[in-house]
Parts: sequence; C-alpha cells; structure tokens
Amino acid sequence: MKTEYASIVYDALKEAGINFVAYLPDDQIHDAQKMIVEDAGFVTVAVANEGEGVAACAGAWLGGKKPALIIADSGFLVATWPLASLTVSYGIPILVIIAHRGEVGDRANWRFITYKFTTEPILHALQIPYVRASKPEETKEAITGAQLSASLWQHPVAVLLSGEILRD
Amino acid sequence: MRAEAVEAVVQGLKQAGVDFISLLPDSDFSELQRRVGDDRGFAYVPVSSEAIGVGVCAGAWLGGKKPALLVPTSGFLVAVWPLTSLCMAWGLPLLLLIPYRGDIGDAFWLMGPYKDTTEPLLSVLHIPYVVVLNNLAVGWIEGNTVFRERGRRGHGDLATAAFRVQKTIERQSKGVARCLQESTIVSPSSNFFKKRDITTRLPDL
Amino acid sequence: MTRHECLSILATLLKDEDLVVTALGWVAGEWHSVRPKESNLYQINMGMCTPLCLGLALALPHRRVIALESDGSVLLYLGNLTTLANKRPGNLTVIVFDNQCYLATGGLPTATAGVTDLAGMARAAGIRDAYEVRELGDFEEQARAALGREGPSYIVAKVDPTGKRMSTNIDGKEAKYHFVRYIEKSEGIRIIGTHAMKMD
Repeated sequence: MKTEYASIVYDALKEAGINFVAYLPDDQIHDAQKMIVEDAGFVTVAVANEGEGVAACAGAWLGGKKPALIIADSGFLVATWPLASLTVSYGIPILVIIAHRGEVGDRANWRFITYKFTTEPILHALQIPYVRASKPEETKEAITGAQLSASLWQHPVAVLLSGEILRD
Repeated sequence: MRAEAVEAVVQGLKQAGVDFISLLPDSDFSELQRRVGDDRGFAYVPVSSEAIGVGVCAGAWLGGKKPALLVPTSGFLVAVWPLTSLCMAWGLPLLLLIPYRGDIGDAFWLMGPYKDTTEPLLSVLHIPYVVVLNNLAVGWIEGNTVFRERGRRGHGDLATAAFRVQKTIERQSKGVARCLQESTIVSPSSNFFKKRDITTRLPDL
Repeated sequence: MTRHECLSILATLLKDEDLVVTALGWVAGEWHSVRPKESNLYQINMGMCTPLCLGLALALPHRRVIALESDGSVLLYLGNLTTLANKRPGNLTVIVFDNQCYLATGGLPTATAGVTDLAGMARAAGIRDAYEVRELGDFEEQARAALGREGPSYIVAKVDPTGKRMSTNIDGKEAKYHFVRYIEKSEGIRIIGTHAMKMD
C-alpha cells in the first residue's frame, strides 16, 4: 500500500470516529496500521489471533469506544467463529477492514485464489454486510459509510480493500 | 444421544476404515466421545480448539491414517481457517461429523445462528454433506467414505464429507415443545416458521 | 474447593461498579446467584471472555474489570495470554476456574487434567502476577491482592468438577442491552442510538 493510500485509510477511520483498533500485522495494510499505532488518539491492541481481536473490539464497544478490526483475508477466516457467535449473535457494531487479495487481475500467487472463493461468500453466510473499495477516491466514503451503518444497524459491517488501493 | 445411535456411528466409522479421531468435547456428543476414546481401534486425539483438530487430522491423513473430526456447529466455525487453508487449498480429505445444534427444535437461543451458518458455510467451503436423522448412520458413513476415496477430481478432491447427526427424536420433541413456548426468542430462523409449521415438521424428524 | 464457594468470597470483595464478565457455562448462573448486579455481563462464548475483557478494560481504564474464565475457554485461544501480557491492562483481573474438564458439556477432560499448567503458561507469556490456588483461604488472599494491585492479575483456581445449572434470569441478547445501558448510565456516555454517533 502506498503511503498516500495508507493516509486515506487512516484519515477515513478518524473521520468515522474510530478510536479503538485491534489488528494483526499484515503486509498489505502495514503502513495504515503503523500510522494508527503511532497516533495516541487510538487505543490499539496487537493480537495473536484475529478471533481475540473481534472479542477485544466487542469489549471496547461495550465500554463506549468505536472499534475497528484491521485484518487480512486469512485473518477473517480465523475470526469466523467470534464474528458469528459474538458480534452477529449479540448485534455488536464493529467495523471490519479486510485487505482483500485474490481478485481477478491481482498479482497474487495460487494461495490467494482461496480468498476469491471464501471471503465474500462467508461474509454472506455470516450475514455481515460489506462494501468494497478498490480505488483511492472511493475508500473514504466506503469506510465512513460502513461505520455509519454498523452504528445504525447494531451489527458488524466490513470494508474490503482491494485492487489499486492495496498496490505498492 | 441414544446408546444405539452411538453404536451405529461407531460401527459406521469402523466399517468406513476410520482409525484416527480428533475432537473437542461437546454436550451432544459426549457419550459418543467417551466410546471413541475408550476404543483401542481408534487413535484418539482430544484437542482444545477444533482448528488444531483439523491440522492434526490433516497430518494423520498424510501419514496414512483415515481421520475423522467430531466437531460441533460452533467448532465448525472455529475450524474454518484450517479447513480452508489446509483441506480446501491442498485437497486433503477429511470426514467431519457435526451434531446439528441450532436446527428447528433447538430451544437454546445461542444456537440459533448455527442454522444460518452451518449449511451455507459447508457450501462455501465445497464440503459435500448429508443429514442423518436416525441410526442409518452406518450405511451413510460407509458410503461417503467410498465417495471420498473416489473423489479425486478438481475441487471434488476435497471430498470432505460432513454429517449432521441429529439429536434423538425424543430430544427433538422435547426441544420443539420448548421452542413452541419460546418461539419468539429462539432464533431468527425459528421466528421465520409459524408455530404450526414446526408442528407439521415433527413427523419428518 | 468449589467454584461456587470461590464466587461467594469474590462477591464480598467487589464494589457495585466493578465490571464482571463470565464465560459460557454454569459459572454465569452461579455468579448471578451470589452477585446479581447490573454491572455483570454473562455467557460470553468459548475463547472470548478474556479478550472481550481486555477490550473493555482498555476502553474504561478507570474501572475494575474481572473476567470469570474457564479452562476450556482459555485453552481455545491460548495466544490471548501473550496479548494480555504485552498490553498490561492495570485494571483487569482474570480468574480461571479450572475444573479440568468440559463440565457443562458432559465432563470430558481438558488439557489441564493432564500435564498442562495454566498459571505457568500465563507467567511464561509474561503475566507477572499469575498464581495457582487450591484452597479457599489462598483464593481469597490472591483475589484480594489482585483487586488491590496494578494488574493484570491472573488467578487459576483449581476447583472440583462440580457445578449447578442456575438461571441468570436474563435472556441471551438482553444481556447486551442491560450491560450497555448500565455503562451509559454509570459513565454518562451514549453507546447505542444515533445521538451516540459522531458523524451526521
């Protein structure tokens, strides 16, 4: 991710009112994660497993924070269980930002085709609404809109960052 | 789970050649789990996370065993990552046995989401499955293993067969009775059915 | 030593405003029977009780947060010990009632029935104040010390594999609203509702 694109993600999160971020470091979105960690305006938790990140975000929301989970497709698969049993069951609004690889045209190797088959279908199966942002100019609106919907619906909402926005 | 249902599943697993079983204890399976743990015909690996169970079974298959994972509907969600990254990506066969919590008749609200997630996720992960409503489990497990061994084609490689072993008819009836009383709070899916629809489904169970 | 005995002691050590979150299983009903307060949140599903409390403790650093955990739940997401150790939330106490089995689901053994030492793992993860207790007197002493010090504290209470199925009188998702409304009231903030949102 280019530095200026990382800034777009970072600025959009701030504008959306996000002030708590759980993350597991991922090379696709590392620069944005770094900006967030260095900003004292965010409470951040680096987790060992994305599942505990979901739970940390849920606890933060119960305590009055506006949480976001920033992860990769692989982490989304790890987080399936808490997303379903905690955030969807109870109706806990968390913003899930997924650095999404494996799109057609993506310069990604054979492993990444797995995410083409899993990420969006599983979001559907878990009944987690999502919006996609591939271009820098649509990213801010995707993130602020997703947070707005999460708050209004009392439900987790995801943003898939893919394509140009992830490119180096 | 009734004693004859436990016996039917164990015999089915044996006839299918399953000789390696991993599991995390679950209330609807505990009798079966005890039976499997005590049977020297199975290598038995209890785990603290179903995700670990998938990894253990994948390794066992690579080592020449015929593994099965006994996994509840909740644990199936925990196991999504290794089922994807190991079984789906590499085409490793694995037999899953899933007691179907959250189906109509299950009055515990927390189980509600599993009606929404279990079958859709099995489809997403390209895991063929069959629903077992009574102790016909013997033939079905055996048949599915044959399918599994044959299924070396494209994504059929996965040939990961899953069963939902239903609770006994007695327990279902009991559950439905409670469900009728509490149908507004059981789960979104059971809300969807009118009370009479649940009743008319009973004979099918 | 039973879990219920420990909970009865713990209830006397807490203030009304201390936030207590329980794991799934009979611990929820048992805790409700000894401390039926609105500052309780019950029945957090397998693996998620401690990480949820970590988020809660970081969001409200001026409130004491107590996680009532179980061995089965901790073992599902062991990596959380390392997160907890590195974030060091001073206001969080985790109490693991280690009955060495999956009691509510039939009683098969967990890893701690074998050779695994949870308190030792917590210490090795970097949680300095991690202790195992086997007697009620020791439990009270450690719980008192944990609540009095800068945490995180991690108490592994070895308890009998017995328990009681009791009701919390709160239906599932209702617990979320109870708890959030309590936090809103006690903190003077809004969490649910459009007026709680920063954006237009």
